[in-house]
Amino acid sequence: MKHFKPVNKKAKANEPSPEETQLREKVTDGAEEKADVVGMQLPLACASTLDPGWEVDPFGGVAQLCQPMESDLYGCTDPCWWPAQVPDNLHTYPEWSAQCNAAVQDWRTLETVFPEEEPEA
Amino acid sequence: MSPKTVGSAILIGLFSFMMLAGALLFQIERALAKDLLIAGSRDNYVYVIDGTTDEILKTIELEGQGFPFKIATDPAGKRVYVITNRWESIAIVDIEQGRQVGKIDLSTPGERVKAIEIAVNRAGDKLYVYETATELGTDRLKVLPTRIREIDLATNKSIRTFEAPRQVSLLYFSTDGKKLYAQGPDIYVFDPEQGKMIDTIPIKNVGITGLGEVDVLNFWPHYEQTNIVSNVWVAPETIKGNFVVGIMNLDLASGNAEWMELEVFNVIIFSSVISPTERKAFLIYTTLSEVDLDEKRIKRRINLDHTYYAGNISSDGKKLYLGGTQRDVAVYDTSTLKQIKKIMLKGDQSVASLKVVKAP
Repeated sequence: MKHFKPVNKKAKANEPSPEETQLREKVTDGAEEKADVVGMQLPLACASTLDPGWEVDPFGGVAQLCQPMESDLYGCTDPCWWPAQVPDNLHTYPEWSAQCNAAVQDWRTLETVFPEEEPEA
Repeated sequence: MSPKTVGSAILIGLFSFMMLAGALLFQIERALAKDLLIAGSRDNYVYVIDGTTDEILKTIELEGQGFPFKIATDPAGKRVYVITNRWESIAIVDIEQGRQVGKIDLSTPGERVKAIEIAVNRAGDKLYVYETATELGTDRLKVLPTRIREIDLATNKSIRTFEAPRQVSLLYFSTDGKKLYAQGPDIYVFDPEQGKMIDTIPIKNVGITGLGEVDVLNFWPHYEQTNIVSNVWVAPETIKGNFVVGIMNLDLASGNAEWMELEVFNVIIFSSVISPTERKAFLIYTTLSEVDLDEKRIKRRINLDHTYYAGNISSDGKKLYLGGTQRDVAVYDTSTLKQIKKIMLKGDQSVASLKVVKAP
């Protein structure tokens, strides 16, 4: 990275100050910085557990899932409880349920989320 | 005086009279109501519900984007604080006026803050917010240490922050106000004066013989009627290999935690609330169960017409309010476990709290 030079304001803003560089080298002793890994803030029912589960409950069936499924829809989207199965409705895709304040009655008005298109090279 | 001036004066007088009449009417309703129930729903509403008639007294639209999340009440029963606006702000709601009277924004241009829990101290002069913050760099996001923010409610300004462990989702005070409990996988005890952690009450590795690692879904701050925080727990039995379920009740007066095992885990239970008048607890999810706290067993269980996340209870212990998930708050008779009524809100509650404010 030391061979790259910033050519615009944004790139320059990303450059560490000389003091930061000196401190980083002192702390890491020149070694590569390791990324921090921290636990999910809300692991209480994350995708790896089945309490109550999304596709299947802890007992291998569907009876112990929230009934009906729509009861649990926003409890899963708002705190990002099931990030793989439903959109992050609170922050990233708030328009997903903008017309659907009552999921059991209005689920048909839920929008569809698509990946953003990558710009052509 | 011109006719136009006279007309304006009449209109102003009429408007003032209506405002005064509305306030007086609310005072009368409040005096008659023993409890007030505070609920929240999509897209961004808070409700004040008469605990005697189970009718909605006020529907209050909050500023900004939704959705209402945790609700904290002040000891005087005059204001409620609501996490909303993509969980980046705290709305301050005056119950009597029936409107939002202030807002505390937590995010700043370089830092996105999401509030997970709030609690007002026993003196009613400070608000504590458990925050997860992300530094918004030019080309990266950096997860910052989780923290508790202390806010002066006289000015709504931040006093300080102090670090707190990750994965906390409940904050509550001891009855004497000297301890702030932050509940996550364990319960972390803070001295709010010093802003330091002074103790830990174990949950995850509670060390009870025969029990493996304990899992608790600690998400609903519905303890105000008894000052006993009741949590449903699930753990593997190390001897027989079953999973078992029980409740752990933390007494906020004594600081003692009472553990009781109830049954083999075959029915999911999300939350528990203790009766203020009888030695009973009520367990809520897709079934409603009544627990005898002296016999330490489930005495009755009924099926509900849909899943509810959590509940609260009236001050006289006669009515149970089931909330969370959909747009209805269901009212149940605690002696018969029969449904009395459904209170319909404007939208789904999702994970919004359901709090009770006792009439002064």
